[in-house]
Amino acid sequence: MRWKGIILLAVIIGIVVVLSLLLTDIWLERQFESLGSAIVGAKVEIDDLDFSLFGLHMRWDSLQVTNPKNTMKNIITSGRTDFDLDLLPLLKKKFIVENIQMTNVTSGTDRSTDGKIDKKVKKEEAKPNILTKTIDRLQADIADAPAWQLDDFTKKVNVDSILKFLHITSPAKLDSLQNDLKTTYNQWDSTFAAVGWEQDFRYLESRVTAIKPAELRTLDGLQSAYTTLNQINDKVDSLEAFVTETRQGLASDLGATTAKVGMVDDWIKSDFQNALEQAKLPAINKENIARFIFGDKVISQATQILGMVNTVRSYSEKFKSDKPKKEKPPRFKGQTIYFTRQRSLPTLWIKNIELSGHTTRGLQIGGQLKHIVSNQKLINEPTNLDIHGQRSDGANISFLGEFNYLESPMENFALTLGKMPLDNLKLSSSPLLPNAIEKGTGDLEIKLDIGSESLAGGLEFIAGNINFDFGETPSEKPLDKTVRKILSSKSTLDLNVSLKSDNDNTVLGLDSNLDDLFANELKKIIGEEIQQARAKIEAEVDKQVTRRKKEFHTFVTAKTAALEAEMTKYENMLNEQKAQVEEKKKELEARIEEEKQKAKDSIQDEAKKRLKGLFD
Amino acid sequence: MVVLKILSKLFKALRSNESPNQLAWGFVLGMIIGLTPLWNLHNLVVIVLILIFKVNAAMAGVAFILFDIIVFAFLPLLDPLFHSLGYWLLVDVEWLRPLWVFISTTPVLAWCNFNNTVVLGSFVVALLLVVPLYFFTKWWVVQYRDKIDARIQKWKIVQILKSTKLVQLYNKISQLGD
Repeated sequence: MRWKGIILLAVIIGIVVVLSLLLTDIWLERQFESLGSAIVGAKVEIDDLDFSLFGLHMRWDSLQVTNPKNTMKNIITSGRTDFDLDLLPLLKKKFIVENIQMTNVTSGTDRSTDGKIDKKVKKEEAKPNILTKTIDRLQADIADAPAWQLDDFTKKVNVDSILKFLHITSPAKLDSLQNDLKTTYNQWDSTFAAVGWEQDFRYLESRVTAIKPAELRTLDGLQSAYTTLNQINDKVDSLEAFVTETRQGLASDLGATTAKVGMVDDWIKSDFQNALEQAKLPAINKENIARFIFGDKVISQATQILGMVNTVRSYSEKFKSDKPKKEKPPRFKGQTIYFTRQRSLPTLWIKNIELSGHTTRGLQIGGQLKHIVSNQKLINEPTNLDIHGQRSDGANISFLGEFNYLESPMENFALTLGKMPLDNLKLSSSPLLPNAIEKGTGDLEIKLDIGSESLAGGLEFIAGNINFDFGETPSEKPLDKTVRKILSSKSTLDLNVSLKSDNDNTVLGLDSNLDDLFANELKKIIGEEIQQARAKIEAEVDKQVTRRKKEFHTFVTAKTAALEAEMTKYENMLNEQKAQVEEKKKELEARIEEEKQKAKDSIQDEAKKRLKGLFD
Repeated sequence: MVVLKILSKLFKALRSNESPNQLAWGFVLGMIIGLTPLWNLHNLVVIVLILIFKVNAAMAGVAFILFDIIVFAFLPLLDPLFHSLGYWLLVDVEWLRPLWVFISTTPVLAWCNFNNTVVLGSFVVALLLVVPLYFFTKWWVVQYRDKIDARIQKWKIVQILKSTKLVQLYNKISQLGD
């Protein structure tokens, strides 16, 4: 034992205690801010955190959580917050809080500074789930759908600029196909050049012609010629088999060629469709109008909510798994594996948060968040959220939520807003709904049920007694006038949104009472222009492709005809040869019969002569 | 200055009457702090051991600096090694699970962060190095005292350097550690 060392240790411990009393608050504040910012993806700021080591009491005067989608706004802010940590679990590195009192909670407040974090938060590559799949599909929907670009067309359909960027693929495909076909045709040209049928037929013809039955006087000579002719016939038969086989091969190749040529029209159609998509020319119909107006906002809100739920879900999985997937943590930071024992306390458990505050529209709200816990299985309770609020004029809010990770993950939310004043509220950034509501009230009901394999949600918004603010000097453009006419004629607005998603599909349905009116009026104004644009694009595609298509067809027709003619020539030669052999055969058979008859007659005459002498 | 002071103390210790055991234990304990992530409870325990037992603190300081340099010089190699070893022990070796559960749920022990792959991996590597490094250091101290020190003192370069102003200054600085 070294006494000097023990004294030094005591001094160090003393310094550490004093420093911790002085610096723990700042250190904890920074730790919480850094952890919160990493989770949210934008600045989380805590002011005046005070931690009492002896009572394990913590409080802060204000909390600001930046909205990661709009870093000049806060998702949530709170005033003074107080809570106590339990000592015994803390020794086991478990943070158990009985109750947090959070006052003056508000949301959507403006920030005085940008809450963007400079350092990019490295997102973990999580396994895709129903939430990430739905988010991806909804975002792809925004990116791909021509409907979202309507505001471009309210100005002027600039076809010329669209045409500059058209990417027509048919000519290149035609070139490639023509090269393929050229190879096939060349193979056939080589085949016909190599077979030497013409020489064969000429040689056989000369041999057949050389047989002259009329000049053959003896039966032996005729018999020998007949044998030769049979040999020639066999040769013709084998040539016939070869020609037939070649014909079948050619027919098959030309058939395949025809099928390929048939694809050309599909390519051209596809080019036209792609050109329309590139031009983002919308189809103006009832179904698309609600998307034009509300799609952007609804999808943006939906993806934000689903993203937050996914963050909560991924953290719950992290704490729950005893056999977590091996991660790639930052250098020398390592991966923390959470071990739990049956009936032991979870690593983090905030049993209750009491909230009180107000909304930006002046509703006094209060509520509870129960069981924010690292592993729900250990306490056998889901996390619950219950917030209610109202205002003296009858406006009210209710938000119920449950995050249930006891078995497979499930989240359920229900938000109801009643008699909400809509004064100065802008419902959409679409050019079809450019004006804020001057006066009116609205009822909103949102339900969202998320499971492990599917999710379903619905939104119903009914606004009544609404007047739109058209400004001091309303625009006199035809579209703006039409929008004004439609909106002035309506004192109510109904919007229904449905969202269904599973592992294979996501279906977003939007429907409002403005759809029909807008569809009809819009068709009158910009429908004609869009039709003209479509025609111009079609003409351009046609111009670029038609000449090439004609050249291609000429080439194919000429080559096919040439090959067919060549094949037919050989088939004709074969038929001629067969006929010639047949004819010569008949001639020889006739001559043989004739010579046989002559021989028979001669034998008969000789026999008669001999018999005659015998009986004389 | 701190490095010079530690080096001065180290050479002084090497040439002093302190036993090779004390020097070797100092080196080994310093190695544990240097090889594992610093801000962890086990390192506090190691520091306490250095302070209360008669082990050579200068040797511990040298080992801490040396192994810290090694870790950061070979971080791309050592970090995945520690992470993989820690992950294997924590997740794949089933029979060790009760131990990790015990450590993770026992007061104070839970704060050692042994459920972190790099902390556990580096700590296990450090433990594996304790015995060989202890005996090697002990042997090296004996060798140094018997052979190397005398030889070094005879080097011409040392003789020349000893007479330079720089070394005189160094010697003066070295006195600061006395």
